This record gives sequence, C-alpha cells and structure tokens, in this order.
Amino acid sequence: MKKKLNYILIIIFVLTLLMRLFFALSHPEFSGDESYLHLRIISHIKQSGFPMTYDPLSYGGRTFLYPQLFHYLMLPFSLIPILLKIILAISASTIVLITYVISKEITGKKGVSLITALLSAFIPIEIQTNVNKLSVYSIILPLILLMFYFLMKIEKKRYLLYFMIISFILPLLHPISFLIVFSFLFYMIISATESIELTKLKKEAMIFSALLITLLNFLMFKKGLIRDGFSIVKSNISSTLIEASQIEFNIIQYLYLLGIIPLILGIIGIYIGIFKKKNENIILLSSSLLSIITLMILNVLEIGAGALLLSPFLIIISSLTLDRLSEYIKITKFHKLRKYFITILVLMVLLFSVIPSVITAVTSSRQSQEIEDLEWLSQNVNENTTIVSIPEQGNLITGITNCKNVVDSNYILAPDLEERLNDVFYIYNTWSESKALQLLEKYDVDYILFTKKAKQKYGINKLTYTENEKCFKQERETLYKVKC
Amino acid sequence: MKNVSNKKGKPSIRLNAKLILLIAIGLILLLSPLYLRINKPLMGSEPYFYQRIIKNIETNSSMPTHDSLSFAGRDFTYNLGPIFLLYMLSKGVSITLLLQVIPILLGILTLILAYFSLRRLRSDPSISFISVMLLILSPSFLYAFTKFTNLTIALPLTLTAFYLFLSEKKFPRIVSSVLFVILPFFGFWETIIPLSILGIYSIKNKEAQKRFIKISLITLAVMVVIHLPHIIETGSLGYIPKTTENVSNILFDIGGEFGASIFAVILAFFGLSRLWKKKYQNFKPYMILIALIIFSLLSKNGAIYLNFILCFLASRGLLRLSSMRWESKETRNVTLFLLLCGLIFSGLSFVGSIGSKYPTNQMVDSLKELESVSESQDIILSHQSNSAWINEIAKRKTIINERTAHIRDVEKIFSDISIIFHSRNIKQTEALLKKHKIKYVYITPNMKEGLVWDSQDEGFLFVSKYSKLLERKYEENEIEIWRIKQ
Repeated sequence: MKKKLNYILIIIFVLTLLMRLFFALSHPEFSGDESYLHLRIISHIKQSGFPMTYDPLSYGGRTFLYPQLFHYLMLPFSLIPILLKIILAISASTIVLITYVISKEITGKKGVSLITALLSAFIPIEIQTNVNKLSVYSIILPLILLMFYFLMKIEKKRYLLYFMIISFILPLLHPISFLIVFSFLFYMIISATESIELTKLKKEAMIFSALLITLLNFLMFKKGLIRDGFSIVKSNISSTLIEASQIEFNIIQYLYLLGIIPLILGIIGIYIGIFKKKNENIILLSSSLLSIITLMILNVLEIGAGALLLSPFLIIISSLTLDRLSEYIKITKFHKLRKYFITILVLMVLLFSVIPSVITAVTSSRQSQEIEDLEWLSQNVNENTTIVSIPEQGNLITGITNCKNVVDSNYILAPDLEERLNDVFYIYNTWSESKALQLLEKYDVDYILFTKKAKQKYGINKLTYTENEKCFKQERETLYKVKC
Repeated sequence: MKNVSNKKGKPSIRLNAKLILLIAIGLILLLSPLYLRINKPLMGSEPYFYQRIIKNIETNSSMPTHDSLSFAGRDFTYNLGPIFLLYMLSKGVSITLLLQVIPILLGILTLILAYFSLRRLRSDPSISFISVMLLILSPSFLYAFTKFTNLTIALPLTLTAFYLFLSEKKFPRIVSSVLFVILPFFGFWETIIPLSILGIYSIKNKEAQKRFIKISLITLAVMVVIHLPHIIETGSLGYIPKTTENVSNILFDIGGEFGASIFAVILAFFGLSRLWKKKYQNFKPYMILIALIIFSLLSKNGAIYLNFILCFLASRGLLRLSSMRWESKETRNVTLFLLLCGLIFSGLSFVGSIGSKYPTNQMVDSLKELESVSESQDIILSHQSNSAWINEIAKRKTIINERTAHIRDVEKIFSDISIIFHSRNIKQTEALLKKHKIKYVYITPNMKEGLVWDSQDEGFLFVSKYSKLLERKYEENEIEIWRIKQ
C-alpha cells in the first residue's frame, strides 16, 4: 500500500512535468514579456560575465536594479535553449513533491497528502505564469515552500542549515523575499495572541532569516531606496496610473485562476487549524497568506502575483480540511461510500483544476502575433530604433528586436516613470494626431506596437490617428511605422 | 596587614584604550569629507550661510540688524549663538578652515561626553562603549559633524550641560545651569528638546526637579526675550514644514537625509523589550523615547536627538542578543554578524554619499555665471535649500530661504512660490513672478528629480517652454538659469 501511494505521487509529478514540457516544447520560443527580459540579462552576463547594472534599451537607457542570481543559475542551461525549458519545468513541478511532504507533516496522512499534491499540480495561475515562460517564480515558489517546510522541522540541525541556505539564496533571486519577513512577523504575533509557545530555535531561525533578507535587500536596492524612499516598494505610481498599468482582473477570472476548490477548502482549513486545533503549522502558513493579502491591499503586490503566491498555501492548508472530512466520513454511515467520495473529489479536481490548467496552458503558451511581427522587425531595423508599447510588452521589444522601448514593467529607478506612463496612455488613447505626433516625437518613436493586449487594456479597437497614411503606415498586423 | 591591589592601573588603561578606539574611529569617519571632497567645495548649505554672515560682520565691524539677501531683505533674526562663537574664533583663523575643523573637534567632544555621561548614569561600561560606537556609525551623528550645522555646537553644549547637571558638586551644576540658559541662542527646538529630556529625567527626583524648575524658568524667559519682539513685530513664528517631510528623516535607509539605521531600530526594539520587564523602574527611557519621537515629527533636527536614545537602546539590545542563551551557536554568530554588517552599512552608505553631496563644482560654476549675468539687486527664485549658495557664491538675493523664523507672511510667500513651481497656467505664473519681482529662476538637477518636480513637463518646466516672458540664459550639466524679461 505504501509503495502504491508513492507510485501515485511519482505519477502525479511525471504527469505535471509532461504537461509542462508538452506545452513548452511545442513552441520554439518562450512566451510572455518577462521571459525576454531574463533572456537579455542572461545574454549580457554571458558576454560580460558581470551583472547588468545599466540597460541601454529599457526606457531609452536607465540604471538597472534587479537581483541576478537566477540568471547566473540559468546561464549553463542557456547554452542549449531547450535545456532551459526542461530545467524550469522540472523546478516548477517539484511543487507537487514539496506540497506532498508539507501536507504529510500537517496531517500525517499519505492519502490526503496525495490529493493535495494532485491539487498543487494543476494551479491555473501558476501554469499561466510558468509554462513556456522563463520565469523566476519556477524556482521561487518551490524555494519558499521548502523554506516553510524546513522551518516546521527546524529542531533537526540539518533542516536549520537548509533553512539558512534558502534564507541567503531567496533575496538574491527576487525581492518577493520580503514576504518572508512579513510572514514571520505575523506568525509571531498570531502565535502570541493564541498563546502558542514557539521554540527558541524557531524564533532564532526566524530572526536570523528576517535580518538576512532585510540586509541583502537593502544592499541590493540601496540606490532605489535612497532616491525614492519607501515608495520604491509601492512602485511610485499614482492611483490613476495603477489602473492603467496593471493587468485587470475580474472576480470570476480571479477565482478561475486561483482555483475554487483550494479557495474553499483552504478557508475552511484556516478556520479549523487556527480556531479549532490551534495547529502551529497552519498558523505559520496562514501568516504567509495574511502577509500576501496585506501586501496586495497596500498595492505593493500586483493582483496576479498575489494569486500566484496565495494558491500553493491555500492548497496545503486544504489538506487539513480533507483530513477532517475523511475522518468525519469514517465515523458516519457513509464510511462505506468513502471510495465514491474520493472519486467525486478527483472528478472535481479534474473539472475545476486540471481542465482550467490545461486551457490556461494552451492560451498562455501560444505564440502571439506580436512576437512574429517583432521578429520580422528585428530583421528590418537598426539598433537606434525606438518602439512604443504598453508597459506589459516593453520587454518583448528589447528582447526580440534589440531596440529601445519607451516603457516596460521594470519600474524600479525608471526615469520619469509617471510622465512616461502618462504619455504612453495618451499615445494609445488620444484621437488627436498632433498630440500623438508630439508625444511620439518626444521619445523619438519609430514604431508603435498595437497588440490585442493593448486593445483589451485600453478598450479600443484602433488608433484613430493612424488613418493618416502620410504619417503612419501599418507594416504588420501589430506594428505601425511613424513616418512623420 | 593591608594589601594594596596591584591591579589599580588596569581599569583606567582599559578605559583609555576604549576611549582612544572610539576617538580613532570617530576621527576616521568625521575626516571623510576632507578626503572624499578633495577639490570640491565645502559640503552643505549652512557653512555658506555662516561664512556669509561672518564676513558681513567683519566688514561692518558690528552685528547686522538686517539681512538684505535672504527673502530679498529681512530682519536679522538668526540664532546668535553659533554666529557669535564663529565670529570670536575667526579673529585668528580663517572662517573656511574653522567651518571644516570645528565639526570634527566638536564631534569628538560629543563622543567623549556621551561616553562619560552614560558612565555617570551608572550604565554598564560595555553599554557605554557600544552606545558610543553605534553613535559614531549612525548617519544622524555623521550628518551633524561632517559639516557645520546649527547642531554642531548645540549638541555638545547640551551634552556638557547634562553631564555637569549630573555632578554632585556645586560649581559644575552652576555651569550646567548657565549652559542650559544659553541654549535659546542656538535655536528653538535646540532648547525645548533638551529641557523636555531634563524634565523627564528629573521626575521622582526632588532635588533634580528643583534645579530643573529654576533652569527651565530662566531658559524659557530668555527664549521669550529673544523671540517675542520678533513674533510681535512680524506676527510669524516661521514656515512650519509638513510632518510627513520630517518622518522620512527618522530612518536613513529608506531615503532620509540622515536618521537612524533600520538595524539600530531593530536592536532598539530588543533593548526596549529588555527594559519592559522592569517597566515601572525604567519608565524614564520610555518617556524620553516617546518624547523624542514626537519631536522628530515636529522638527527636522529632532531625529538627531532621537538617535542618541536609539543608540543607547540598540546597545542594550545587542548585548541582550549576544548574552542570551541561543539554541544554535551558528545562528547566534551569523545573526550578530548580520546586525553589525547592517549597522556598518548604514554609516558607510552615508559616508559614501558625501562625495556627491551639494554643492558640486558644476553648481559653483553656474552660480558664478549667475553672478556675472545678473545685477546685485536682482532677486533669484530657487528651492530654499539652494538659497545659502545663491546668497554666498552668487552674492544675490533669494525670494525664499531655509531660515524662515519671524518672516512676515511667510506662509503666503511659500504658497506663491509653490504655485510658481507647480502651476501650468502661464499667466498665473508670470503674474506671481512679477509680483515678487523675481528676475531669475535657478534650477538644479535635484529639483527635477523629485525635490520640486517629478517629470519634465510639470509646472514651471512646462511654462518655461511656452512663456514669452522667460528666457533661458544658462544650461549646463542639467543646471538651468532662466531670466524673466521685464
């Protein structure tokens, strides 16, 4: 029986890996804007050996502040591009194994942990973020979960060592590491209010980790903090522009990507874990949920990133709900129908997690028209060309064409950020040709990238001023040349 | 038979060694402007202000009653303490040299006084040593003593007054009282803050309370005598900046001009929690901390006074962390190492920024150009932080200044200037420029990087492109001089 369950776990892991690889390898290029940013950084490191500190293409030239350990780690695999896709798929798939071990630590039950692992294999938002994308979250998410697992088992010395190592690595990968500091803070507060005595070693480990993460982040982002203060964390964008710059989510789409089953089971699990059982591990995981939600409310964390981080924690916590449900069924008349309940649960997972994940994988890994158009453009322009796009596609421009952009999604220390975002908004939304030309001339723009995403973002179907063929020419489906 | 201890010499040798170490590190850091700003002008705006005033006094051989350059002409309502002291010392030494040397000497004196004051308050020698070490590394201390400011004299004066107040002997106590009484000549907050701390210290100590009451009555009387005539005449206390502008100066690591290191604050929490166990016996440090936090919100310089107690609490926190029993020695060692790195990082960050602080050589060149294109009666508009350089280097009048005490209608003036800077209404801007008889506008790079504007098309920057009244006379190294045509 023990072996059977282990085989099922391996099957789940292999299934999710195969699914990721299928969608990733069926397209030659990566999809997604950030993939091209990371590719460019890796290319820079390959050429110079040093981290990128100045980006001549982003925002027409700017100081570049970004942790680059991820890029150094990916460098050896980038020699054969297919290897990059494989290693990232493997890394992202390990969430299944880590979820299994954490659930087993919480519930002590293999069966329940397996179902939780199955849930974690198919998280639509995680699939959307990581499949066929060169995404740092493929490594960050498993590491964060591992960190929490090691903290749960910190009494053993080797786990303390692993915990310390991850505490060092995490801030060098991504500033989301700050989340850990807030999580530990909430954990200590909630434990104190629930009169749960944390072991000394746990407290020491958390203090050490919080200090290390804080110090490393200060060291890396010192320039940004000195120039922009705490507003660097909030991206320093006015509220009207936040709406314009973030991907819009409606609640149904949000639930779809987050997963309805993890959400419902997770919330129930939090209630049981904190108020009924006072389970220390659930409190720890709930603290991270609380810190994610807090950062989202403070606009420090985008909605999409928040959902991505919430889902694995909700899934792990839902293992407690499943365990209680299983125990409850055992003592009722329905215990003979237990197998049918499991079957129904698996079908629900299939319906609400697997199918949405597959659909998301199909849509997000698809090669979009703009990538083809930009690849065409890269053969037909020189390096001094400037292309304007929405911020969410700025890195596509620099990555594919090696040309300058006007704005992109890397806001830290971006020059004249608000002014540029404002101007790009007007370029896409104005009906006045003279206003558009004035702004295009201001940034020396040669091409406008007008994609489906830009249309959705601004709720427009066309750029009205581009009808003047003396000044504008539609070179490709998504590309307009500025002739004046 | 009595034995004389042959260990008599050892404690004082240890004490001297600790003190020498503190002084040595302090000197290295305080001398940093000298080696980081070789061939660069004196750092900061206040040295230029004092330089101008002392030269003015030397020229006229008397204390002026009017300053023709600040606010395009105002009464001489500056704090007389630093001016008088500098004037007396400048008789034998050049004022420029004085402005460089005095901060270093007084900085060292402050360290010594802080150390002995803590010893006198029966602090553990380790706490005294670590507190002063943290003080040396703190951006607030380095800000106050790497260039001449109002606090360069006020701080050691306050510490001396405190140190002598704690003495059991009569003469030091009298000197202490005198020192407190002369604090009003160094500034309003520089008087109120020390008096408040003294008041809190004197709680539950009848003898100290009696002395405190006498000192505070006389000191406040002196303050009223100094300020009341000006308040009655001008009806103004001065321009009071928003509290939010002062909040950012509490922590250096997140963009404050000075302030405490975040790691010192973290350690201070640990120190506070240690004191919390005997909260009723230790209520004084708590009250002093709360008072100083409030003062930090009200006054820019409050954060510098706050830094002293933070260093004390941080030292307690550091000792607590190092002496408590850790489950894992490795975690303990690395955690302490991280904290020390963080503390050193903050101090070194401040020192590292000294080389790029204003004024730059390019600014000095542009101000000399301003002097050559303008006339002596011309009024210049710029951010108030540039006013001291415009007054001293370009020798021109400024419409606003950092020193706003007792300026008539100062709120209205700042309001008008804010409109000139931020309005895109050309006519409105031109009208206000004419109203205040502004002849030139001087724009520095930091004004375009968030000090005044966040973007290139904001307010005056937009107006300057389209107004026919404005003519650009100078543009180099992102410094601009605009002339208003009459």
